[in-house]
Amino acid sequence: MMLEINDLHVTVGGKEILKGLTLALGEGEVHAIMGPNGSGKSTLSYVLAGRDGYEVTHGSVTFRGRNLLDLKADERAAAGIFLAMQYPVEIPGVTTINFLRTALNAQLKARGEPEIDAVTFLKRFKEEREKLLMSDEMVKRAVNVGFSGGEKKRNEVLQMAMLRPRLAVLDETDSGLDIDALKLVAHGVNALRAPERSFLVITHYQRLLDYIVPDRVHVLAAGRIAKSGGPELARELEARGYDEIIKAA
Amino acid sequence: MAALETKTEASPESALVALFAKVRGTLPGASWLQPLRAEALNRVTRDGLPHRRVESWKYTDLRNKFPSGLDLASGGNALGAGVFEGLKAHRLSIAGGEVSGVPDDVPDGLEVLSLAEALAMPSLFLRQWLQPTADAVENLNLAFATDGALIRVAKGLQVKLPVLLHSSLNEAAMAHTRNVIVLEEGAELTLVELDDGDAAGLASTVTAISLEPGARLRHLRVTANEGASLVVRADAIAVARDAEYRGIVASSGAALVRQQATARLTGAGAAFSYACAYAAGEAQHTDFTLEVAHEAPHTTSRIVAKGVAAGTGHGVVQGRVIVKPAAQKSDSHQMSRALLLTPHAEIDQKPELEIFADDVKCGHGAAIGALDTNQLFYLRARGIPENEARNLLVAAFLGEVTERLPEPFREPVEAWLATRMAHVTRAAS
Ligand SMILES: Nc1ncnc2c1ncn2[C@@H]1O[C@H](COP(=O)(O)OP(=O)(O)OP(=O)(O)O)[C@@H](O)[C@H]1O
Ligand SMILES: [Mg+2]
Repeated sequence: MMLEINDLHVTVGGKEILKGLTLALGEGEVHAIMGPNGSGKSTLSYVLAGRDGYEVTHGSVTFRGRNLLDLKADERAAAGIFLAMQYPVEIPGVTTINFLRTALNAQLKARGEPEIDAVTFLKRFKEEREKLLMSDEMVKRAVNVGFSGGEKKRNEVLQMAMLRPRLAVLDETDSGLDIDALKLVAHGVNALRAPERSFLVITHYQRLLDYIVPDRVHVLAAGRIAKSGGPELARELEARGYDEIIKAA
Repeated sequence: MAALETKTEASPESALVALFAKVRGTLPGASWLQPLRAEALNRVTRDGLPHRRVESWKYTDLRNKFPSGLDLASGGNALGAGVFEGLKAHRLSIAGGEVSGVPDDVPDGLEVLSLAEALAMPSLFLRQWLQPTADAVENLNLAFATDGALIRVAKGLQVKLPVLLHSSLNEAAMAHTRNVIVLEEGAELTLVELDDGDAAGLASTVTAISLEPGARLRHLRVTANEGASLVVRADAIAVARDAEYRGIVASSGAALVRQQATARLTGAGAAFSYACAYAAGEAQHTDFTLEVAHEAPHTTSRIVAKGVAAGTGHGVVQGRVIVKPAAQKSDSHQMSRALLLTPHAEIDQKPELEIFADDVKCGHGAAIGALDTNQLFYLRARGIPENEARNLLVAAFLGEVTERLPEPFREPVEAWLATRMAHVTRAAS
């Protein structure tokens, strides 16, 4: 198993947001999570990434056999967890390229692997950047500073491609993307699909799932999984809305 | 007055008087200088060493921290090349208040001399730079100054290589250094200063800078003293018509650092800029006290200060801009920002404006914040450990100053600052 979440309860700012969430994601699988605004999707993504302030009051999260909740955010990243954030953060004064190289080397170091040399890094970086049609000028700028909404999302996918995680959680990476960029991003994800890599794709839109076809679709409502199904569930949701589906569940 | 009551036998001022009596015969300078030294010391004892009831020392108590019973340093040798190892420059080392190497490869029109040697010559040229003033640091320094650099760039000469003054203090003693820098009309120079040493001593340096019309000085300084050392610096800068002063200072590591810069923009079109970055960790105090007087029309000044403090670290930035009636169409701006890495660290920022002309543009701003938790999480979520993430964000914050450093200085200064940051942020984790 890549990820097993069992009866997870999470409190944020004194308020219980996740209320008994259970989910299992196999190696090489892609699961989609859909759900109304405020249902706890980003909360789940932050809990997985290890953000401070998200208190697990009950339940467990096991990542490739390890208790994920024991690890700090950076240790989780080194263990192979990647979160493409719904709202990527601007970091003035740090260039994307420097940031990524620092991150990659930190992960390699934490795993006891040798650091990547500058030439190899730059070569790989250029390849991935070009796949996402990002300009050289853009990545020499400070991380996400002055980027459009869509550019920020592409930058998340660029980071994912460079860091090659075992589990990628994409939190609304499709929101704010134009149709061409959506295809690029979907293509980027599909290119990384592999038996040893899994994806948790949080989205509001069925369209993304036309490109990244999931193995399972879950509906998250009021802090727990209200319904799960195959790719057809996404189409059903698009046609009938959450309300009806959740009530029927 | 409280300051007078505390002047008992054991006061630091009386110790200075006793020291002066002991060393005055050994201090350099022709007969005209001795009374000036005595008068300077008089003023120090009359006013007392600066303490917090003196307005411009509101946040820094030099008197209280003044190490008692120190002798004058005995010269000695500078320790290696420090931060600027391997950089090509006309180098001059000043160790323990004594010049130990004067560059001999300088181009025609550039003079880099030992002040003590220059004072041995029967010239009164230096007299104008060696007068008692109203400033305590300058007076203390004048009383005891043993040596320093005298740099003169002849009219129109653009000096290609930088001049590097490396001052070290490696004994628990006082070193008082006096520099005089004169750029004649249209001359250009990059002056780089490196201060280091880790002894529990006091290093005071007073630098008089005169930029004649159209001259341009780029003045970089790294104050890298460590441990219990106290560093006190005062720059008195005069900028004439169309001349330009650009200062960039990075400071971190000593128990107490006070950097004063007082600039007078005396001619139309004179420009002054000063950017400083500092990091004050556990038991470190860093004070920048800057004053710019716009005395002529169309003069500009810019001050940018960026600093971080952690643990019991304390940062002070005081910027005072005075626009005199004659300084119409002048343009001034100062900005001071600081990061508090831990709740007990302290930052005091005091921008002041005194405007006596009506057609001027003046602005100032100051802000104190903490590291952004969203940014920290973003970096950590990509695998960068917390401490490293913090250092990266702090370096980016100070980058607004360090990115102004020209190559080849930027890289070594940033690398040095990174090692200092590792020390400073340790207090934050
Ligand atoms: N710090 C906080 N304190 C209190 N409540 C919070 C805090 N952070 C988030 N919440 C609440 O938690 C709930 C879940 O938020 P979350 O961001 O996980 O929703 P979401 O499913 O990702 O929504 P969206 O589709 O709009 O992105 C919301 O009601 C939100 O207001
Ligand atoms: Mg969300």
